Amino acid sequence: MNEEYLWDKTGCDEEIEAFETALSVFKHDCDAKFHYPVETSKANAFFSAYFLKWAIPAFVFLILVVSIFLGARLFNSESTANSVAQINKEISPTKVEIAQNDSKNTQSKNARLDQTENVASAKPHIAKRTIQTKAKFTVINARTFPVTDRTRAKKYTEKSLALEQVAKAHDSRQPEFTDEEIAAYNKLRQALAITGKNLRAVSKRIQFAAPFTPDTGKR
Amino acid sequence: MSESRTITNHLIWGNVHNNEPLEALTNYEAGLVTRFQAGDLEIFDEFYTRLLPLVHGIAVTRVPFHDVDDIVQEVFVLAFNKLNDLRDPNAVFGWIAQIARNKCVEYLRKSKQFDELPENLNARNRPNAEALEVLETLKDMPEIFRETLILRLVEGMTGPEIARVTGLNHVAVRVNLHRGLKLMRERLGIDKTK
Repeated sequence: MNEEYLWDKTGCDEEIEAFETALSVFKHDCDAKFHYPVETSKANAFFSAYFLKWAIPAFVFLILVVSIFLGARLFNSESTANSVAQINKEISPTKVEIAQNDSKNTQSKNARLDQTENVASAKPHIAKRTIQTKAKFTVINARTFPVTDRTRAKKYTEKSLALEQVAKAHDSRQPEFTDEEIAAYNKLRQALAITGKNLRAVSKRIQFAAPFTPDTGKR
Repeated sequence: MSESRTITNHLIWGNVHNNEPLEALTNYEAGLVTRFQAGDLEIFDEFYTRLLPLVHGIAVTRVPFHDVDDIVQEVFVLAFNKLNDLRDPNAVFGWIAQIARNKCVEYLRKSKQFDELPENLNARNRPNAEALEVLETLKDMPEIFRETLILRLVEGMTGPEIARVTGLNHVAVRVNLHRGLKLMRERLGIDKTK
């Protein structure tokens, strides 16, 4: 056995060369190249293809939408606050004026309530329907309008409910008629019971009769 | 007795720290590692070419030959991902050799669940019977001789190259080669007089 060939391949040794030849089928491929990890390239492809192309614009769009929404809300609240502050500043009444205004307001409210009550007493079914419609409208307004309008709508709703209670009370009241009124009511019903045909026959007779003189009240 | 055994172990395993030229020889691969860690990822192709014989030789000694390429690929993929964590670039050979050994152990642990297919299943690339017999004999040898002989006879490395990549000194490699080849001839039944 040639020790030098075994050490650094100098010289020759047939036996070792035979081993080398037999085992050469197991030798590494000298031209082999490293296959880079597929996961890494896939991850890069994902980030480049989807994340950069879609996710970033979507994120920017989302931020824009949110900022516009928040900005609009902030602007509304600021404008409302400014308008309220301005109104308060413009009004800025003294205590005496406030008392006077309060008394005037209560008087006008009472007058309006009385008027409404009169209407309700005269035509209770119409007043009730109107009040119900107004109440619905104020409820819708309370849902959709901003805070300042909501308070206004709430006050209006309370007023409407008060009127509705008046109308209900009027409905529940028993009518008190005298005997004469009842007899007049029955006559009126009889008169209304005359059909249109009879009315036409009556009008023909009137046309062929003597002219009506309003001064004397006689034909 | 214990003193002679110590001397023998010293000759077989070698002493890395007493071998001064070894550090200089590993400078090139250490430079590759440094460049890779600095961000030059394309240098990994050359790194692969330089360290392929060592990893391939370790895999050949431990796993069936038809799985060696997969093991090598897994080792280098792991090295590619972890090379930035290597603190001492001069220890790159020992580092990747240990990765290869661990991968082989992991493979053997997993492959116990399955029945192994015969080596001659793929007739096209089937090694001849003599080559398989020699390889099996090499695999059955003690570990101290096995890697050195595989690197010499299969991968075609010289003694100094084996010393450089394994971290052993020249004397130890020379002794391992000599004793290993002698043991292999005995196991193969080759007559010494021939």
